[in-house]
Amino acid sequence: MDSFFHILSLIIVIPFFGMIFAITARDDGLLNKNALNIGLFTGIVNLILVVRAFLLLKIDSSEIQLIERYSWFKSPNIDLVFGADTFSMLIILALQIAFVIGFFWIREIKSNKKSIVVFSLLYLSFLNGFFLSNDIFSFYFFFEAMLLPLLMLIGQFGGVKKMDGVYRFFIYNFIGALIIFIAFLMLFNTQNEVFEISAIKKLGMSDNSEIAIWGAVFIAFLSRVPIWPFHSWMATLCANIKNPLVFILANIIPLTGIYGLIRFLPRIVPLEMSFYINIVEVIALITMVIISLIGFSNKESQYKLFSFITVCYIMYLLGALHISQNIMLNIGLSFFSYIIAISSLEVLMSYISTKVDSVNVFSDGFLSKTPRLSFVFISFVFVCLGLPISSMFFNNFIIVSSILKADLSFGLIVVFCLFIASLNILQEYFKLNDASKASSEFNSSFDISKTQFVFMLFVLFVIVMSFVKPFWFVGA
Amino acid sequence: MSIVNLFYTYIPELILMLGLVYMGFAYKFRKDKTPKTFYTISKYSIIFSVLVMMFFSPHIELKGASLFINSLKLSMMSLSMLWFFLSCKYFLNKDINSYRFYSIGLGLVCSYLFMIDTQSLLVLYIAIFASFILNYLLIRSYGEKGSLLKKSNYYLGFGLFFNLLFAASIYCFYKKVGDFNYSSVYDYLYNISVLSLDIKLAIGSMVAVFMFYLSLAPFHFLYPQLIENSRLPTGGFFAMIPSLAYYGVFCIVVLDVLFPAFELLKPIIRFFALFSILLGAISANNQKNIRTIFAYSSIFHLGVLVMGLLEFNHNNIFSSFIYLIIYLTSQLGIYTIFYSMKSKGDYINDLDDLKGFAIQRPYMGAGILVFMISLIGSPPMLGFVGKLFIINDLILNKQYLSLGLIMFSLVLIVDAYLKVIKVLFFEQGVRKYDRTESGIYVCLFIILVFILASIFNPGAMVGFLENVVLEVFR
Repeated sequence: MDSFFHILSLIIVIPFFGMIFAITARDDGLLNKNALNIGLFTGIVNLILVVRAFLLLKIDSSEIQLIERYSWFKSPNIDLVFGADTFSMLIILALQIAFVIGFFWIREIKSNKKSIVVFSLLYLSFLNGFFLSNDIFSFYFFFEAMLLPLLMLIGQFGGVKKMDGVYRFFIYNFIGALIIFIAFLMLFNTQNEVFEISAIKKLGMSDNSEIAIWGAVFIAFLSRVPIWPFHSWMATLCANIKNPLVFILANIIPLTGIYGLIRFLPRIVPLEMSFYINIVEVIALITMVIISLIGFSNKESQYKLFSFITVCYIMYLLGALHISQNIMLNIGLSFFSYIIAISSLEVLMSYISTKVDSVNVFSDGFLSKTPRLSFVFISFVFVCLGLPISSMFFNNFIIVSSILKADLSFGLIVVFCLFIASLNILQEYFKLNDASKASSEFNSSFDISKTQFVFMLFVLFVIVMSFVKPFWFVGA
Repeated sequence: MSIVNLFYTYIPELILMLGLVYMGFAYKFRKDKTPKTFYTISKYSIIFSVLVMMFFSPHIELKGASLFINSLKLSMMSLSMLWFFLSCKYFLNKDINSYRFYSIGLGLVCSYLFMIDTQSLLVLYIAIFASFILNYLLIRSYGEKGSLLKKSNYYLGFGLFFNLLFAASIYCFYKKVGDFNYSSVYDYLYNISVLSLDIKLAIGSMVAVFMFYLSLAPFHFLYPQLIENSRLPTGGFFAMIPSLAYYGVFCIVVLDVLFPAFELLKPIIRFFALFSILLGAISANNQKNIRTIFAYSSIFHLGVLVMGLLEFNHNNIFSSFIYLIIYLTSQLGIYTIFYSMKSKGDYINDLDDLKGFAIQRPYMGAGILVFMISLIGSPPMLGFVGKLFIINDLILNKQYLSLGLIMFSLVLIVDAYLKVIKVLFFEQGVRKYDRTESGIYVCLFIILVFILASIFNPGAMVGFLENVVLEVFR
């Protein structure tokens, strides 16, 4: 049933209008608070809208709901269709929270805030569009459109010295988008009208074209997931990005690939593709082992976090390849806490890095002198470890169980990699909390402010509630 | 064809010619003439010409009044007027005589109108020859560097050769048909079962002449040099207006004259298109001059445009026409921004000298970003619509090899644009850029509004263009 109030379209266009407001905001120096406030305000408004959209959803239904349809072209007949289910709305909700966290924490960073807010809001608009797309055309549209703002964010504000990585990021993803574009056009020409994603399985095609189209879709989505041979740009970028907001945004790209796979492949993939899926699983597993071990031996905190993020993404990918309708919601719930937790950890690590750089000493023992920061830091580490304080605990358990059930040896390697990745995070925490190595320069003035502390406590509250009652914000 | 109809058809050309005469008088007799004087005469000539065209169009019972032809003429005159407006800023800044630019420019627009309106191969030849001579004069008049003046002699030589080829082709048709009319030649080609060798050569030569004027590879050799080394008004004029005119004339000649022998044209068109696509994309990557990069990317885009015409059916012309309009809009935007790339009064072309341009001039930076993304056909920019139609046509016609080559070349073009983005946005420069005139901002704003508005409702633009193309097949 079409929704009366076009709330999903609003979720897409509000950041776009926020961007236009940010462009016209008056410049007030490097600490440009005007543009930043617009960004923060837009993020909060969108957050409220997403919660409102949740209230309109039937949470226990796996159907796509709140359908909104717009005619874009008459000839060829192309409609843009938006819709949402609990899975996509959970991801969107987490993304809005991650954006608000990012906007909140870049306040003190001296850079051109106006540009960063403009491109971030544009990116948020396209991301929302991507996760709300319900037809192959708008799906592709947002899949490719999100690359430009991210390129500008990473290139201008990421602080990445090796521009090769930025190029590779754009070229790889652009090629992926071109491949999916051609595959979708071939699908489109079978019926001469844009159809909804869920209708693809009903298509009748010859074997060769089936394999070609699905192969193209598969490669396009995989190009966004940090597995070999697509991992290199991700590693180069994420291990070097200095700006916390840009780091958060760059790390959402693999999520789009996995989301695409979940939406398109497992329940409707042709049988001929199963062989190729096995190959992908093996490659993913090898990448997982290598990245987790490199993360363990690497001393850079940014790389350790990247290693953890990558291992988790590959776990979700493997879960997606074994997906059934039952665990789709589990993946969504796990994603919810995961996105918020890694965003929070990244902003805290970036805060520490900025403070440590200002006195030009090592970061060892920093947390021992900053009690408020130490408390929130360890709390988010616990969330990442999968302890029973977030929705990651129960849902990761289900995802890993489904992988173990499908293949025991595969599952055991996944568990091993998760263990190593968690150790990476713990190792970083112990290093930061080692009072014996703390520099004398550190003192309580380095701690986060009360406002920041309260803000992070609120974020923590949201995560903890996702464990206690996953849909508490809608009273379900 | 009655005299009245003939008069109505060619009245816009006559008005432009009157404008030229008036400009000549102003140059000779007016004492306080400035670059603006000649711009004003050009502007009013074009505006008056457009108004007359729109007024008389419903009364003409000729094919020359079709929506397609009127749209071509209208687009060309609007584009010329915008470019003349921007060029005026250049001449005022540099304080150089603009008479030759505006008089030759107006003459070129007039010759292009003749080309589009005519239904006679003889008139077409005369108009093409006139435009060739005017092109040469424009290059000679405003070539900035010595090497270009040398190259202009090559242009003269090659141009004369291709004009002779065209004359020979027309003579060949005249010998067989005894008439220069499009419809007579069309009927002749339609009625003969086997094409003789001389007719085949004549058809091939005609297409080659159009490829030369469209600057497609391998006849592209002067185009990048011309864009790089000529003064900005001349370079910009050549980068946009001739493409539109020759594309239109090519479509008209193929549909009204050569269509019965179209199977013969296919491999020739495919060769030129694919060669241009590959060469444009590869060459754009090796350049250090921003104008040359866009010149080579133009060769790529013109290749895609011609590739889109491969089957010459309704869908093909519709797709390529959309692609052309969007390409020219983005190209106009890019060249508008070139006018703001100015430091201490000098216009900058070297990429290395443009470091940090977008950081100092964020609105110009945002503009060039929008246009580049539009040119590569990436959503959400308008260029995506053009790419969608062309690629969809190739898939429908099962041209998978051509599709693969276009995709490969597109990635190379993206790589070239990334280098521009890197220099303009990601690198810090020490150069201070001059203040950008408000007129350039206004022009940029209009183009951006067109692009952004069309994203939200591309159906309106596409619907109009579809009607235009349907007229061709009426």
